[in-house]
Amino acid sequence: MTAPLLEVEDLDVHFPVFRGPLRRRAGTVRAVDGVSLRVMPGETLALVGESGCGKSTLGRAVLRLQEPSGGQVRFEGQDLLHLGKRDLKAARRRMRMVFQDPHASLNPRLRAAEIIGEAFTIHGCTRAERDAGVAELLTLVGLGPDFAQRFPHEFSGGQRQRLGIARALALHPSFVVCDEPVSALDVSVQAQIVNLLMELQERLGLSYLFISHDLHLVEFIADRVAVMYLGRIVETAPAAALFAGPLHPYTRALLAASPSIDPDRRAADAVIEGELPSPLNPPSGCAFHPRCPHATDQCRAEMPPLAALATGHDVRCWHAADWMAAAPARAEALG
Amino acid sequence: MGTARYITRRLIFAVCLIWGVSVILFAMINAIGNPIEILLAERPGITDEIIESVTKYYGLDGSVTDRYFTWLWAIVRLDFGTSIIYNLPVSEMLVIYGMETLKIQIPGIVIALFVSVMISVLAATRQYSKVDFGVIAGAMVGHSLPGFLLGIILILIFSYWLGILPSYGAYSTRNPVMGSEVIDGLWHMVLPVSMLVFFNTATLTLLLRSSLVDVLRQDFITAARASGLPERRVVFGHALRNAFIPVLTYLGILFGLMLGTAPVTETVFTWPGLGALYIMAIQQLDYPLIMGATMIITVMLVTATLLTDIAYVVIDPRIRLG
Amino acid sequence: MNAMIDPADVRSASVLEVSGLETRFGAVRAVDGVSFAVARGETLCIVGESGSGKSATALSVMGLIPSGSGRVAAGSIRLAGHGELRGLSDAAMAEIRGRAIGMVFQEPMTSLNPVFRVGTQIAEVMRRHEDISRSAARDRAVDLLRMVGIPSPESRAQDYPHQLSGGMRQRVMIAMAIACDPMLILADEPTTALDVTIQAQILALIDALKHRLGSGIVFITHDLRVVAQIAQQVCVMYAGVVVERAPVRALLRDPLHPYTVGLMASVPGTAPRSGLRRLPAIPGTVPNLAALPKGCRFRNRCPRAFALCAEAEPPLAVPANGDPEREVRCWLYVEGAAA
Repeated sequence: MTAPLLEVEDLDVHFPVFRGPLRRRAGTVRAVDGVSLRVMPGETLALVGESGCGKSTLGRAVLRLQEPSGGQVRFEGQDLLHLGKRDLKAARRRMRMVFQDPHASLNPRLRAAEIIGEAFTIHGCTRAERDAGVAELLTLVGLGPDFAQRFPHEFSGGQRQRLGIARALALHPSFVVCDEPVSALDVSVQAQIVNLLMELQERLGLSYLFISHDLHLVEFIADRVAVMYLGRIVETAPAAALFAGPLHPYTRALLAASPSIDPDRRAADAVIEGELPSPLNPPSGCAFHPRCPHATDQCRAEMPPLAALATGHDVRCWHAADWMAAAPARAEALG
Repeated sequence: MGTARYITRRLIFAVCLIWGVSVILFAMINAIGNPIEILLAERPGITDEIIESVTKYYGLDGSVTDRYFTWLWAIVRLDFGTSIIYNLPVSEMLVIYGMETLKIQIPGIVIALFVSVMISVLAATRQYSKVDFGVIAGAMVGHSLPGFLLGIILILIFSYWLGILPSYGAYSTRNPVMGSEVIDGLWHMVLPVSMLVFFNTATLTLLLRSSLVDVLRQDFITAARASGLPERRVVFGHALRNAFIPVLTYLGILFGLMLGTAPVTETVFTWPGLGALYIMAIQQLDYPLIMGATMIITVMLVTATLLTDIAYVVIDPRIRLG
Repeated sequence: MNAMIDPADVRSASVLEVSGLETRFGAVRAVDGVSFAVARGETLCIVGESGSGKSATALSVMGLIPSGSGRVAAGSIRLAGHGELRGLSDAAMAEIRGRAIGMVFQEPMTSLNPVFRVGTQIAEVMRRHEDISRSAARDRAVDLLRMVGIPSPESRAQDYPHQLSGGMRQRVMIAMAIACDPMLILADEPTTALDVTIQAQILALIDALKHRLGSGIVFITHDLRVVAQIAQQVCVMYAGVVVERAPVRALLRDPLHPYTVGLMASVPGTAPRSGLRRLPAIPGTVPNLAALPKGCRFRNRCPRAFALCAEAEPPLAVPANGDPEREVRCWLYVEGAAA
């Protein structure tokens, strides 16, 4: 068995909340709370959840773009949170990020060659190396070297995201955090970018942490899936197992709410009540209990642990074993 | 937290601020040295004994802290002492000259506010039209014109050439206009107020127009139109209130600026206001007057800031009190 | 509220009939000859990607195309009981907006005025269109908030928009749109900015309201899954024109236009899984609407294009030997045209 490329152990990202004229600390938002996960070489781990669940913060914390408040991140055997500036810079060559909004994440005053070439310059490559690298990357993402001298506004949305991917791939990373990389794009363009990401993964052996709210896309692209709710992972499993037999009531609710393309399978009955609670004032016990149709007194009082129910299938629910024993409530795959 | 508690807190903060200014002011004046020495030393026939006795007379021989607290207690009772040059109670002078300043400045701001709202609406609802470009250009020119220049031009046209408006002072020395003191006073206000309105309008219009253009692009404006609200209601009811939020900051500054630009306006039109008085006091080293005027200006500034803060809370519910 | 409406009655008459609508922004032909009709109690989905002209169509119907940048150049927009809307004065159009047609927007976070209480904003719409006292309007605003599923509506009516979540704000927008019992509701991507669980709630709400009020709904979206959930009739738009129109089942079961086929295939989880992990993507991008190529607008991305497609634009017509209830704009379905 190979060693994991990325190992996250008990990671916390807490934001203090200040109030009042003296900016007194009024509380803490536990945006990410005790999250553990691992990504194997060449694997895609998808992180799903609704907005505000902490998935983007987690993605940033893994790259130390957001300083974690506690826990451990090991990347290629190095303890990332205790690296000095120089070593962190070296590690960052190997772990990059693709952002959601290709419009906002590209400097409008720089040409494509400068945007992609920046990484080469920062890491001390020569001009010739840089130019060769830029041309190669532009070809790799399907744009071609002709695009090198253009500015971001001369690109369409899909082309801009290709540019964003090319920037991330400079200097041969092994790991890329993709934060909702296609959700700002049109459907037909989404498919192009998803295909590009998958093709690049196969050619370059990349690992992805793929952050998305689109379960259908995740089912298609991911090897494993982690579902987050209010800063914690509530279920993690291989993609096939998760979509065939989701165990956590929240995962089931998400799948049920995710509309089917079959007009005869309308989801109106499967609607769950309520909204995401305030992360500043999370519910007692299991964070999902106020919206959970099966909540018991135990759920209201105590936070369940993330427990393994099958190989690689962990669930944070007191009643997970019952769901496991009952026939999978939703055997049919999403349509 | 309730609005009342918020305002109370701001008030306490304002008082602390004013007190801080009083300490700094006193320390600075104290650092200049004994004013009696500076005022009298060069004059013929002044001996050290005379200086000493005058110093004692004005109570300037005690320790610094004693003198500070004596002064502080006095100004709390609104007793600013007696002007050395004019030999009048400073508090009385501040009231008289201060009223003259407010008499031109308040209309200068209020009228400008009204005019700039009208002009901004006209320009912003016709973005990039000839009207809009004309307004922007006019406001830019007005905003960057030197203050005294316009004053002089106004005097030249309306007083010198046309001879219809008085060029200086707040009142006629003899024969009030139309035989009425009130009309006479108003008549004298026309030119200085026009100049202030012109400058304030130019700057406010620049800010308000661009703010309004931004707001008119917002989704909630389209939504308001989509629910059938008449255009007048959309612009004046929905857009303007939002557009005012960034302009409020400037209004607070404008009140402060009013005291900063008062000397220029009042000098150009020989207006007997606080600004002119302040300049005179400094030129003639009238210590009680300088200190009194400085404290009054501080209080006015802090009050303006306080009012701005309160206006924010009233106009923008998103501001979290606390 | 309207009395119960027998579905059999309402299907016959259209609430809204748009025909030959053309809307231009300078040289850009954003909407280039669009026709559709919506019946009472029916949901028509207009599907398309950005630049397809779907939002411009909605704004044209509302008479909200900003006069400085664009104009409705041709066509007819007829609303039941009001006749032709095109050419109406601003004042006459404002009478119709909010009363006969309610609109819901995409961004609940920015579509409510931040400085007014939500109850006041709903009441304002009613006071604009109906002779109703301030307090009566306020009471009805609370009723409406209850009707759109907002818990403790009395106190929520006193809230400012920033105090509500995105889902709640969208419910408020819907309450505003239905405040005067409109015969037509225009919803422009009303769930796109929301999370899936909230999207499901809002879709269920819109569907329930349609049954309760009997209004016709024009629902604009880019998401075929949402179409499957809510539509009865569907128009697929591409580059300013309708390329296919069909009842929802027919369209999703058996898409005819190559663009519809491609759009459906590129939705993850619709195509049968193959060994190769790729989505069937539509190559290329939308053409420049200011300089449209001759012939079919989709031909440069179309896997089935042939010589005729480059020469003439196909008409929107009932497919040869096909279902008379649907129409498609493609030479492949014109008898004798295909090579």
